[in-house]
Amino acid sequence: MLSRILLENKIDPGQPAVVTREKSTTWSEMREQTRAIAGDCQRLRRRRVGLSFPPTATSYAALAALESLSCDVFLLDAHLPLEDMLRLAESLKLGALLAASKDENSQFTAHELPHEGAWSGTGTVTILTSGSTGQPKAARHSWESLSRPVREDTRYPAPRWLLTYRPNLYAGLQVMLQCFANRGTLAAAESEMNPQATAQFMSDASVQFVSATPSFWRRLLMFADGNLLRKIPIIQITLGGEVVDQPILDKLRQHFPTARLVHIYATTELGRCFSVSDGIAGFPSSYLAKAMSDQVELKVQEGELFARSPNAMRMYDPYSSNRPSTSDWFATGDLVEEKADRFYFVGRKSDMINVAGSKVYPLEVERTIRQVPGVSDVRVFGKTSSIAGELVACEIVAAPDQNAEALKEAVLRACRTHLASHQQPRLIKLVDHIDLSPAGKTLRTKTS
Amino acid sequence: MIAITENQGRIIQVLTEVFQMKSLSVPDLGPDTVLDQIGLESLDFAQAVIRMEELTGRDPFATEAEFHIKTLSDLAAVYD
Repeated sequence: MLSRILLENKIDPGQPAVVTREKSTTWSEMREQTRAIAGDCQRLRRRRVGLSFPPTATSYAALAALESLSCDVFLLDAHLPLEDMLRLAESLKLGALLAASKDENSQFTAHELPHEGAWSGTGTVTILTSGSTGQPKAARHSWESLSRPVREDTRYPAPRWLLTYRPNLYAGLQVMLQCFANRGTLAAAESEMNPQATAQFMSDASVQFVSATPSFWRRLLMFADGNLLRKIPIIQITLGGEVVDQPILDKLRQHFPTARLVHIYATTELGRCFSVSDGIAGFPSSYLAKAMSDQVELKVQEGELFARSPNAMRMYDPYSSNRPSTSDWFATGDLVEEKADRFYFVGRKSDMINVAGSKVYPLEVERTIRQVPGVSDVRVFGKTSSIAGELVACEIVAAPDQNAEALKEAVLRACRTHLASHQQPRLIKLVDHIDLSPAGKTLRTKTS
Repeated sequence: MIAITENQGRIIQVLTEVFQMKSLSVPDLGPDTVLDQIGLESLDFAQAVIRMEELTGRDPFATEAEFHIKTLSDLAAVYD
């Protein structure tokens, strides 16, 4: 799919394809790169190939080239040191690794590896998720499963998209494919940019479509210049990757009254499942009964959302340590609660905190704390306790000019009012910022 | 004025925090304070143990050892 788009001649050759803060690459330059890399990499045809994947035109050209050679491509986080990539590539029995060359002129260095596993027979894309256990999960998608959710939209020719996600993960790939399928321009933000620099970059690139996590937006709305943000010609805001709550939807509506607000539910394994565009958190209960646009089916069992989707990965890579699934219904690990014909996400099964036998959902506590004036961000997590199993702990980012002690007191008061005793945070810390995961999500890792 | 040990002082500080976080008035706390008479719940105690670990770097309750703790000074002694 990607190689077809990148190699075709219909696109205005001078139009930028990928824009970063330093560099702009046109569609015709990206097409030439695709041809050149495909020519250089003939020996990789029908093999298992790792690709270091920063958000650059060269990366996308290389992916398209490897697609045209029917490779099984494994996308690797470009932030990994080369030796880690090589170790990972060897453990996955890849035959070669393409990594950015130190030499400015040549694009890639191909490292050949021994012990290559068997080619899948079609040409695939495998996404390596970070996973909480250390060893990444290797979700093998076909080009068909990746491109099924992509829509061509003739209303907005040459759309300008902002990429905030890691390019090598599912969401980042979807944004890129959606942008390129519509012959658009992809503006790739760097995860290291501070909020004001990000806003400036969005403004300079005049982005129209922004796909990001709620955490990304909370940070931007709190710390970037509101007047600058409001001038960006945003047509659509797509939220995903994390639970979308009503306050963030309302705040975005306020800042961008004319933008279309969509939230998407997707996972690496299941692909895109559904989207909601009524501006309300959660999703309508009717989604469980009806067949949705992509023939995705949903069900809820013991509070957990299950899905069956033709957009799903084809399998875990056979050389990875993940067990093959035995059913086509996939447990998402996301817990939901039904209220008045709508399902709301209450949190990840794995994030649940067990306080002396009582369950606490971090999201519920975070929601309570987020509503306290003066709180700009919050993270709730379980702290291991030798006495109670776990206790609820939280980190809070104060808005500018807040008195720390008074803010803590206000937070505790709100928690006493709205939460049961076992849900109330026992450990509370003020911090400068909340760390986000590589996927742009609030880290809720438990600490001991 | 009775002299108190460093760890008794830490326990008093930590328990004071526990009461303040719950917006309760802080009872008189000294080495002879009987812990089950000041209205501490088990989660309060769990909280105090985590805070003590932050202050001393130790969690004696993470081991299998049995403790006979009645007074504040008994608790402090566990950290000595």
